[in-house]
Amino acid sequence: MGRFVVKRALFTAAVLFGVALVTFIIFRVAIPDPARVWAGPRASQQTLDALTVRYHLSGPVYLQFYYYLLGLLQGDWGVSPISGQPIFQSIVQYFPATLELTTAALILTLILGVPLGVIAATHRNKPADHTARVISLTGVASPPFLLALVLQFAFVFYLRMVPDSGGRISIFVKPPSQITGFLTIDSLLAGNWPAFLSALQHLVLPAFALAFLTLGLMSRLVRASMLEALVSDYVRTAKAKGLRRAVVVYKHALRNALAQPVTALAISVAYLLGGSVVVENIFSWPGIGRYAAQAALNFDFPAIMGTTIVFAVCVVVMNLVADILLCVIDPRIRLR
Amino acid sequence: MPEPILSIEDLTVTFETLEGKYRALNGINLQVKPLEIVGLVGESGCGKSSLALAVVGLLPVPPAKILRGSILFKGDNLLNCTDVDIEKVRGTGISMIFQEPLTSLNPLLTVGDQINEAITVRLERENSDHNRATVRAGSIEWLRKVGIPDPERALYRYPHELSGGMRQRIMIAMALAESPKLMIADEPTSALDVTTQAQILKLTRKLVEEVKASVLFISHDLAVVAQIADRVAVMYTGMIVEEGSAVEVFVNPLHPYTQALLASYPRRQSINEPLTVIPGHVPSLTRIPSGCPFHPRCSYAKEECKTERPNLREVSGHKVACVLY
Amino acid sequence: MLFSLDKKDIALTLRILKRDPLALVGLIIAVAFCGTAIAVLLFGNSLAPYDPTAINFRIAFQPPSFQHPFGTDDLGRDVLSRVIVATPVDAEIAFAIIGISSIFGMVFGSVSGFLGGYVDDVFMRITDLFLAFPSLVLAIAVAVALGPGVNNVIQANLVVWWPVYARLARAGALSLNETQYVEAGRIAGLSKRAILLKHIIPNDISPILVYGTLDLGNAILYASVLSYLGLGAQPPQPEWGRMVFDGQTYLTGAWWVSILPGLVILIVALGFNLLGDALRDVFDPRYRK
Repeated sequence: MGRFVVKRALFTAAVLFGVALVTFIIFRVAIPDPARVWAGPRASQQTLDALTVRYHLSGPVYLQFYYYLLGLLQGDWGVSPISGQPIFQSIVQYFPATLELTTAALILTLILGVPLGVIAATHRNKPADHTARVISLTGVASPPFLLALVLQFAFVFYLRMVPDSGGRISIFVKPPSQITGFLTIDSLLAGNWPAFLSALQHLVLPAFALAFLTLGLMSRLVRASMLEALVSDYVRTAKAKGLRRAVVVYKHALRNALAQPVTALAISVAYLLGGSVVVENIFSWPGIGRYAAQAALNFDFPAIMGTTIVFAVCVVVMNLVADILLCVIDPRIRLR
Repeated sequence: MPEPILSIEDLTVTFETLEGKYRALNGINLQVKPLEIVGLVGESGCGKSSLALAVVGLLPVPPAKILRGSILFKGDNLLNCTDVDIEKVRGTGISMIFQEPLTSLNPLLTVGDQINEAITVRLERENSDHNRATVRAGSIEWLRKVGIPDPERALYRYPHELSGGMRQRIMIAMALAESPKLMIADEPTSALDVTTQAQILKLTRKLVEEVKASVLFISHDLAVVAQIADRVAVMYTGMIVEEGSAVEVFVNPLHPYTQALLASYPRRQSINEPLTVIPGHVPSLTRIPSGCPFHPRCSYAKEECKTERPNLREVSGHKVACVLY
Repeated sequence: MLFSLDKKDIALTLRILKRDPLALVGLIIAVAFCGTAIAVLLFGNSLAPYDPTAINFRIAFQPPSFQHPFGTDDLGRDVLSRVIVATPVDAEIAFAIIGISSIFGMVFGSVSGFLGGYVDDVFMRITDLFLAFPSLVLAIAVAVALGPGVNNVIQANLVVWWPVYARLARAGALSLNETQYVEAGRIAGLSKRAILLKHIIPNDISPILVYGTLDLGNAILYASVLSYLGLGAQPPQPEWGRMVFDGQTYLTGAWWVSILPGLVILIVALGFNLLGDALRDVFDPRYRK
């Protein structure tokens, strides 16, 4: 299995290189004159010249790409013309928040989506199945802002169950010191109960709004996989052995059915990241998604490119993780 | 005469497909006595597998529908049982092995895990005390009995790591470890090469005697059935056309279909002699001919064969369904 | 498998619609959406109950009522009228995206799958590369690069949409390569281009058609998110996503201004999803037996 991981890791590196290449091409096509864009419309010729030298903008294309790549790897991602802040540092600053939100959404997807799919499969064509189908179809067809707004309106304004202040934690609560960057985990580790509760309260709605889409996808996948597993030959053997129904469904059918949904997790991350752009903005969640939304609203191209690269890296890494997970679950793949 | 373990009476099963309804089983009467090996022979598509699945209640019931008949196992009609009751019969009452052991074994579980399950079922139903050690010991013992080398290590193998013959041995182990009264074997040797086939047949005979189980052995291969069965039933388009002791049926076949089947079996003949073939082809179950279903291909067919469906009659020691008798 | 509807297909379609009422709902929604779009394109704003641009502060922030089923917004404009008038924008964007990317992807993928070998490898690496990006984010990035405007939104999405169709077409071409139609064509000495045009591409169409219908819903979703972020159609042209964004500020007091247009997006996307699901059942070989 070690060889498999190494091979996949190398492949991942190649893909990341390709990502850098594509973003570089988009960059060059979109901005023929980067110096002027970065310096702002009122910059002096001196500033322009300095920028041209600094970013090697006058050399041949392949040289520019080389320095671009170098810059990417070294963390020099340029400066946002709108905020004036260096892009890489901003992204690093906002990254933990998005990580926490996305992880929460993934967890919700699993603990809600998988059971929903299992129920739909074991109660095929009965009301439970139809309900599950409607829920998942609605999830797939929802624009990311709709549920976020509805939830916000319902729980924050109407029912007043969740505090109004946006962000990750109430301003009246003392936040814990940063260990993992996850406010929920950090406050647990510090034993800071009020902070934990507040962080959780703020996390629930945006995580659920994000997870709604992927929840639907996951449940449909699990349902389809389960249905296939339930009519398979090995399930027939399990029944013929006289095993109890619960054992047949969970130990035999579900275990085999989960192989595909695991791969789906990687695709889920791509959707979650896309959705976070809108959801984080609505809930004022200080993550990369909100940073990207603000960048789009302000036509801040370098910033949006930075977030695109980060998101692409996340998706690629998650694909690798999913492949390794699949390898762990299915012994047949290990032999390859 | 001892009571039969399994007694199927007038079993009729229909299947509903997009193309229409058809009868997979049409008035099947079959009995299996204790410690007896009954061979069920027929070409593909004659309904043998449907019969096997119907007995253990594994027919997919929305497309399939049991029209009438009864399946008596040790006196109880399985068709009147609830799902829970049938569950209890499976495994320790009636166990089953299938044709393709690769897909019939769970690819994600180790061999040991799967045999342990079978042994645990038996121990639980016997209300015996058991723990992981006793179950594991039982599994190792059974692996040894079916001839798997190095059983302790084999426990940790996955199905795809073993050969077809070994997988089938494991299926047999799982089936017999539960000490069933009846084992149904649905084409267990069809996916194996001839040498392995012979080994498996020998093994099955030996173990079945040891466990004191009866067998319903289903196959399309006459030679295989001849090697293992005490009694033989011949099936054609969902009906049993001849039934008797193996010796009787093979040496003195009465039904034209049985005769044709035996004649078409390749024998040591010279290269120039053409192979005997039954004219025509097996009708699809959706278009079974009226009267006696074999009449379009039968060289003895009479007028009445087109309209009258003959029942199984007792003739000189075994049963035949043909107007000739 | 050829793209030809005969009596059996129609009978099967009717059976599926009867068995699954949701499919019928999807069909109705899809037809209503396209119909409204065409009607507005033909007849203009007069189709709406009220003038979508009429500003009247005295009736601003009216909740949904009989006279104004969707209420009025911050400038007193009837929300329902604006929603109706905005229909062709998303329709145009969605159909353009799916239409162009499916054609391009289909040609690209068919050629790649058919030719096989080195060409296929290179083409597929390129596709994989584009699939490595989270598509919504990439579309946003390209749209920002290109600037505001409907055409730029379409172009930005094309970049993101074509890989999936390329893969679909390639899969189809790969399996078709093995069939007898293509073998016969090769033996007959048909040029590669002829085989492509006559055999591979026409047979590839059904899965792409099915997927494309499903995808129309997604295209509408993407278009709405992009316009929510300020890319795409610019004011005064009403657009559903944009209306959601503009109405957000008034969420506490007048939820209908932003939520109702969002709901309309959901319903239309849902309709195409249901329709696509049903279409997939029609073309699924397992049902055709």
